[in-house]
Amino acid sequence: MPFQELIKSFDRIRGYMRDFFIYGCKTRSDREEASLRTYDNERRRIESYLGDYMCFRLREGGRGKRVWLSMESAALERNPFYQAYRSKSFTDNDIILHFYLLEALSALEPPQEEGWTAGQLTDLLSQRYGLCFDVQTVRGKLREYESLEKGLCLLASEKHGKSLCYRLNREAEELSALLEERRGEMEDFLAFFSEVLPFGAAGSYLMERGGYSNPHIRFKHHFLSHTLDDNLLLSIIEGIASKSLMEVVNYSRRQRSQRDPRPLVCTGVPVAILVSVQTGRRYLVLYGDKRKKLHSFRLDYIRSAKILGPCPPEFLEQLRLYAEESLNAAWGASISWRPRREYFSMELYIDEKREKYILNRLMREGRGGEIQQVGVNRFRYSIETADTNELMEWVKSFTGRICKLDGSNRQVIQRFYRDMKRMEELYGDGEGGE
Amino acid sequence: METEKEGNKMELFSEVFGAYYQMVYQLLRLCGQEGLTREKIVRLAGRTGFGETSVYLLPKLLGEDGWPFLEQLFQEGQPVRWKSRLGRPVKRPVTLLERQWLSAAISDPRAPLFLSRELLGRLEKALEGVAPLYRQGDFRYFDRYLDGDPYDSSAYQKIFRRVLTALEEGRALEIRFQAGPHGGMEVSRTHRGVYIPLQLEFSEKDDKFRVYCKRLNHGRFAGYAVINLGRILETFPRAEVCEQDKKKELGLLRQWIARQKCAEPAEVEISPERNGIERFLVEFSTFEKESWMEPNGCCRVKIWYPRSDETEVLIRILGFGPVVRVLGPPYFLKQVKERVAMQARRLERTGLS
Repeated sequence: MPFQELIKSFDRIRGYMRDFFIYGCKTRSDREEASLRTYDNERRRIESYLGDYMCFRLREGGRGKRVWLSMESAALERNPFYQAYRSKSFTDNDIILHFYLLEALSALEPPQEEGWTAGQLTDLLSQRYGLCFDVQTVRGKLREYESLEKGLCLLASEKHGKSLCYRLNREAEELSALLEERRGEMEDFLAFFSEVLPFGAAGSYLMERGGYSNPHIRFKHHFLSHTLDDNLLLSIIEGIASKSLMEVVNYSRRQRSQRDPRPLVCTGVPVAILVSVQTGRRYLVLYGDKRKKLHSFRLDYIRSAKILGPCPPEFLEQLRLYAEESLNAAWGASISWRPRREYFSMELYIDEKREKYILNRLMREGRGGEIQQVGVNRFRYSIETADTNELMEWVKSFTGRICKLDGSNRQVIQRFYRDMKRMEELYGDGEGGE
Repeated sequence: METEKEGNKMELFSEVFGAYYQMVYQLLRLCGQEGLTREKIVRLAGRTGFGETSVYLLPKLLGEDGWPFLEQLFQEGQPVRWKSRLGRPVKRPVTLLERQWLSAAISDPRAPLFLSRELLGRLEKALEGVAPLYRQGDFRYFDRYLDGDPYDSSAYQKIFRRVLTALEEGRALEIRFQAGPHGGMEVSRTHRGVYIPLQLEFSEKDDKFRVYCKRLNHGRFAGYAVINLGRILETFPRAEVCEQDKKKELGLLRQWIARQKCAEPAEVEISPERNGIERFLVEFSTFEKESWMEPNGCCRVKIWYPRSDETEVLIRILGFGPVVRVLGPPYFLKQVKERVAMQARRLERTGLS
């Protein structure tokens, strides 16, 4: 089949884009599951969608030519990945009916007050524009544009006698008029929220529709690839809102590294989405119905999420009692099912006169931990948490100041001391001084 | 990665939002009844679509068996332009997905920074009965800094809107603000000066806005400044306006920002243990970077960062411990070595090394 710029399903491009963006160096041989042609086609598509924004560099490496993909989020006006959402394929009938039906419904007086029937519109297309469609095709498109399916609701319908009459959705029209009237104020609002909110692609569609640009706002610490998981996230959010039982198919890092093709299938009630604005990871928290415990799954590892049906009420009661407490006790996304919490503390050297900013850092980043002065220029940070291991990246960011660690998870603390020893070996000829 | 999404109604991925549909909207509007030449249509398709859109779209728009949207206009028997076959330009109605997203956006605590109370009220009314796409509580941002800007404060909102208006209108403001930390120390001084706001910056991690400004001294350009919105105490309108074209101003600002980048990228080697490669690359994906795999299974990465963020980059790299080894440049590596050596001495003193 010849190369096509547009695609039917978002799923494959989701994985490729993420890998190119995150790793910047995926070669054909790294995509072990794909044929060479698939790899080349996906790469060509990514170049086609993102060519304006991204920088692909070819470099001769040890394992053949490599593609580099790099961008600095703060230098971009808009998230380039939104382009990928604009690549859905369609048929000739889809696009012809879209424009001609919308024109007929917005520009012409309907034959009756309530709107047009599918038959009347079919006749109109033929008589006015010379376009021949059968009434079933026209009706199908009208239904698609009227129903909740896909979240379009461009049209509204009303039954009159035996006929179903269609017109443009009035609420949508009123909103359109308001957006048009106040476009000056809406521009910065949409430019900001289409980047920072979940499902920002929807905001970018509004921007595109209104012809807006974003000259006024830059975004720092902005994880662009999150949007690639947003289409899947829509069903999860629906599951959270309706408190439904869901089936989640996850393909974890461990399975990837072991090249195990069997994904993990888990059923349960989705509770919340955890977002790390520092590490760029997002997680689904799911209360599993089999083992009655909370699980967290990386959103970018989830392959599919399907609503199975309503959740039994007794199950919801258990969940309510358990979820909030567990989530509050977690430092990050590691949610313990154990009732016992781990105690952790670290003592830091902070010059109390000249290094107030370090104390500010502890308060700002310490997620509610307690800070006490324990000596001259010595401060202790302590917290009770579900999993000490999760703190350690943050703890090590204080390298150079750590006097002592203490806590109930001895294993993690011993590993910290071993890590510091390894750091000394790595950078052995240090010239530091106080 | 093969994925699938099942069982839900909403779709972000729909042809109705697609690039080709958008281009047809644009073409129909520009062609109108007067028409556009073939060259202009080709140029438009090349400019607004994807990289290869012209190849696929032009035969559909201008070919004999294509879509019936355009027809040729003749002059003295020769085809000269293409006009729209539709009576008037079509505008896509706002979809339910977009309305639900807007409904969620206007309930965000930051919405009043951008919209007046009156407009927010009208939007709320227009979206009455439209369920928000998600609830704020569905998302928990667990590591956002706790000293973010006070979006609910009416004083902050007022200052934000004044800065935003000045930025949109290219007007100067006299700004009095609390000075930032100096040499790592918090100071109680305040500054006062005349500034033309050029661009806002938002950090999701810091949960703060900053504004990039042109500083004026007796009406003349005196360099660029970056001010935290949360530190602004007062603003007063000024008569000075931005003399240059806005695009040119932003171009100059971009050049200045580019000059603030590190002279040489930080270069690191990441070992695959503890999923280090993936963790590091995701965390540093907001930076301009170049990465490649070494035959020994390690990953080498070069990161370009703003000089003002050097300490942040350094401590985040240190957070990875021995999984990430800094290779250069020398002045960056020296700082790492100093911190590691200092750490070793601290542990030695407490007998914990």
